[in-house]
Amino acid sequence: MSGAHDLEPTLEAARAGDRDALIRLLDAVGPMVRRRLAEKLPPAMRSSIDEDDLMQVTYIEAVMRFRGFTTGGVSGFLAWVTRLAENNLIDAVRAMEADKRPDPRRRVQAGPNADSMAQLVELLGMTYTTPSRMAAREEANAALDRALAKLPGVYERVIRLYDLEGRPVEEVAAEVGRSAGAVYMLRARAHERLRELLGSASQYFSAS
Amino acid sequence: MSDDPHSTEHAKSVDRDLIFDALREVGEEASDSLPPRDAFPGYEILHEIHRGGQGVVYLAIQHAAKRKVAVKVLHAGPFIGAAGRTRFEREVQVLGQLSHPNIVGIHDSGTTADGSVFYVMDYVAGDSLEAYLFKRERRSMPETLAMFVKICDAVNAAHLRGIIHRDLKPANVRVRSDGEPVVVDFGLAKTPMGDGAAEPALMTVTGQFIGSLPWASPEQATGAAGAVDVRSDVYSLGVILYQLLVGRFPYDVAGNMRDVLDNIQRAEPTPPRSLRPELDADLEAIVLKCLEKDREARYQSAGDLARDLKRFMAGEPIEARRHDGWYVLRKLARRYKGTATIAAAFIVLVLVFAVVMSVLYRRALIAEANAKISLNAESAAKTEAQRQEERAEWNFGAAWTMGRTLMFDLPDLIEDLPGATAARQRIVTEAIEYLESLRLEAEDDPALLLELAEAYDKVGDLHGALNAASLGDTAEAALAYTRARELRESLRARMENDPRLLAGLGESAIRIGQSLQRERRYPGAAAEFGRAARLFASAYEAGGSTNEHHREREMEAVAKVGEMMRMMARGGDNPAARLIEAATQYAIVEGYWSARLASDPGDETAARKLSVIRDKQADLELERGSRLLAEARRPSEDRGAARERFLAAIGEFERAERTLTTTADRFRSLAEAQPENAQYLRDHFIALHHLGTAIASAAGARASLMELEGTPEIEADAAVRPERDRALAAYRRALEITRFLAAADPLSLERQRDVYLCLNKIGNELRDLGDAAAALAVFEESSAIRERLARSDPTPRHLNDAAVGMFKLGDLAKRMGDLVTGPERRIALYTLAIDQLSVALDRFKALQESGALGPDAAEPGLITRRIDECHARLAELNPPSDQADPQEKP
Repeated sequence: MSGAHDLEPTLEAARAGDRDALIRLLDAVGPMVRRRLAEKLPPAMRSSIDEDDLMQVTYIEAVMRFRGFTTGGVSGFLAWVTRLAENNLIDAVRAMEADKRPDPRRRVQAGPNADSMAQLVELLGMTYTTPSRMAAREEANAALDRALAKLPGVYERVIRLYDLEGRPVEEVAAEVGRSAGAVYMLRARAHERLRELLGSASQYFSAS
Repeated sequence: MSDDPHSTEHAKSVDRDLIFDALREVGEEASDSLPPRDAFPGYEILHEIHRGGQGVVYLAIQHAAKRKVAVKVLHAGPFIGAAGRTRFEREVQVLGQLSHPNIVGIHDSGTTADGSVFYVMDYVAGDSLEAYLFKRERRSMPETLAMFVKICDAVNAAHLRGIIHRDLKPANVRVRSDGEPVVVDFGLAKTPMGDGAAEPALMTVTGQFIGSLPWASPEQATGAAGAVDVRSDVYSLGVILYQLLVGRFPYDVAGNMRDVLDNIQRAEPTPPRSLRPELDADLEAIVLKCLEKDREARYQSAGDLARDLKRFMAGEPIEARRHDGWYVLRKLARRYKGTATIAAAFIVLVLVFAVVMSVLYRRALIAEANAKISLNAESAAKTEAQRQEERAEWNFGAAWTMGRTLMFDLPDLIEDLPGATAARQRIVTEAIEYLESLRLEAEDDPALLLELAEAYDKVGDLHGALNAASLGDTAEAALAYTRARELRESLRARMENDPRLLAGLGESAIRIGQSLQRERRYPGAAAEFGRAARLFASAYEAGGSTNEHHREREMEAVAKVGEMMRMMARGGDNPAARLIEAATQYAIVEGYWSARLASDPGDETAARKLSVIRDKQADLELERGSRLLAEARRPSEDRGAARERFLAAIGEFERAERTLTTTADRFRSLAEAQPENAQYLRDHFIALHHLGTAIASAAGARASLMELEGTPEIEADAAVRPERDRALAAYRRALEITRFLAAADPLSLERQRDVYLCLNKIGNELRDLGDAAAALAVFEESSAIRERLARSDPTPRHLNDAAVGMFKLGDLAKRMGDLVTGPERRIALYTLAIDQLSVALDRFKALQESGALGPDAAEPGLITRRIDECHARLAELNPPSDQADPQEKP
């Protein structure tokens, strides 16, 4: 294997859109990120946050957001991926902690319906800005649906199962074949992505 | 990472798979469009079967033969990398060498128009063994075992060509519709001709495990690529067999990678019969023998495993249960290690071994005789005769194993125990008698002779190893080492270019070199070490440049040549040239380890060894510095030249300090990462110890330079006080570590020895700082430890240490006598000094008489001079007229 310098051309190739180069790049930095994260994972959380899940969500984020990584070399790339992974870890830990003391406001009510959609929109920190709230709501729900479809498959499923159907985290975890910690990570990332997607649909929403 | 055409199995822990999953999730998966129809002349692509990180596999029709084949194509593009290509080419090359009904066959390989490489292999219709495992209707046990034996035979066929698969798992075995198993995916295989660059490592540069974790052997799990051999495949076969028998893994392989690696290395397999009580006990023994953590205890080849399974299937006694006895005993010995009952347990063990061995040995002889008689009897009895003969062979093997255990395992188990040296010697002497008698039986079986040579090495070690507890009998040791070398040399004509023999000869040269070193015959020792280095290099080459252990031993020998050059320099043999030679040797070693580390930054051995050699290099700089310092301080030295030398010495010390600060940090982080690893702690201790010396030496040199330039001594001392304090701080940190290690391992003599070595340095520093009282207290503590060690284990080394300790005390008393005022105190101190120095002198003389100390050793002369000086001071203080007879005073 090569050192960081040898990976610079690979990074350039990945930036130029070479998918295989991105794979090799992630393959090279992934284990380093894994090691860094392993140290930070609180022992009490190890049973509920799986290292592989953490890496999985991190890779999804890295693949999805790689276009945004425009400056910096391989070491910058490593730092960037590490930060993605750290954010995932932090969100998972936070959610697991919060789960011990449920906060009613953090959870959408059960049942996939227009209301749960609206609540999700609020949860995302968006507010309706058009005067006609009802009309706006329908438009917004349609936009949300479209945005959900644009998410990576597993993100969408987590949002639908957890936020919209209100299923318990353990069930969602079993459904998507990942740990509970991963569900929280996926959900946090999915919210972020949704905010971005919906943010671009600014005719309906504005960030609160 | 598995890239098998037929594989559907993806180890969850492998990041590459996670990355592909991520690509899929994001919907940016690589295009799955088929290549152009004419991409592979002579083949028509039907559809894609599998897509992996490395390439794609298509099902195709071979026009000429009108049959289905699998075409594997390496991803194209300029960035696939040399390693991926090499691995691909390796698979082509490996499969090309193998022709076995149960190994996938390769038909063709080439390059497409767009530059992608590909090869064409058998298309195996049917399921993978993995799918078979989950099938509801399973075959009968005999059918399953017969199939498994075929897998073993296929793997063995590869082994016979020197090819180790390294990624055996159910997904890499296809089961044809007619039930024949076919082993596939040799992409990770290790080949005998593999050069270092092309050899796929088991860990990537980033420490990521390559291969399939749940089936990996303990040696693969540690990431030691060099330690992987055919027995690693035997382990993986064992895991597969376990799955076939029980339907699950032998230990937990879920969870995160670290836990799994840990389980592979440490967790005992769940006994299959505890899960499926109906299994035959012999079958359980066979599978557990494959899964031994210690590869020496496994079947030594896939062929051995297949043979034992065949024996089982034929209702014959199996090999696997032969060693039951000694395993139990060895486990007993482990349990008792380090407890107060060690002596009792030990005696029991030895008795049991002696009895068992003589019984087995006699039985072996009788059985062999019976076998011969039976052979002469009528042919109907032939099978019985064969069985008898087998049993005789069996018993001989068992006796041999016992001898080996007695010889190699037991003495090591008690190596560090105080007072165990004599017991170890006794065992080894007894064991060698057995081995010699077995040798007569085996005539000139090379394997046995090689082992006998190793046994002699062991005897030699017990008699006179340089750096461990030993009897200090250099002459006996040299005799044993010479015997070992003779045995090996006698095989040379027959086994020319055999790596094991060459390495054995290397070991002989190392040991003989060490005996010479012990006798302070440094030029001879240097020659032996040089010879050892060449032998290890030849062993490495003869072994197809695959056994990294030989390279490591070569480097150890090279470093030893460096040590000898330093010793010769100290003896005044052209010091400047010798030190340069030493530096060159060290640079070779440093180059090797830094290259190793660069090729695999996760290689902890390389990280440690690199720091160790850098530590030695720094130590060499310290030595060069001290030499310059001594020259600078020579009264005859011209002022200008002296100044130059002082500055040069300070430069050396500062360079050493910088290196040592780095190595100390490195060892600290290694030790922090693995707090249970005593070796790293000890490395950290040594680096700190040297660091203290570097700082202290620089301080001393700077003070001397200031004095040379006219600064009063007292001011110069004051000026370097902060440095001396820093040196002291480094020593104190070193002391803290070594005290911790000694407390953690109270039975280890070496750890106690480290404590007093460190105390000595602190004492020296305190003495040079002018705090004689504190220095005295420290020296007294250090001397007490030495005396204790010399009493509990009176080896020459410990006796020598005790003598040095007494000298230190006497020397300090004399120095204090020189410093204090008041005739009475001075007389008392000089008298004390004379007493202690005389004891030290007696001890050194005794050592010299026993041959443990060379006749030209400097110590006795030095001590005699010190005693004379004390007498002279006393004479000045006590004019003869005043000297009343002290005996008459009340």
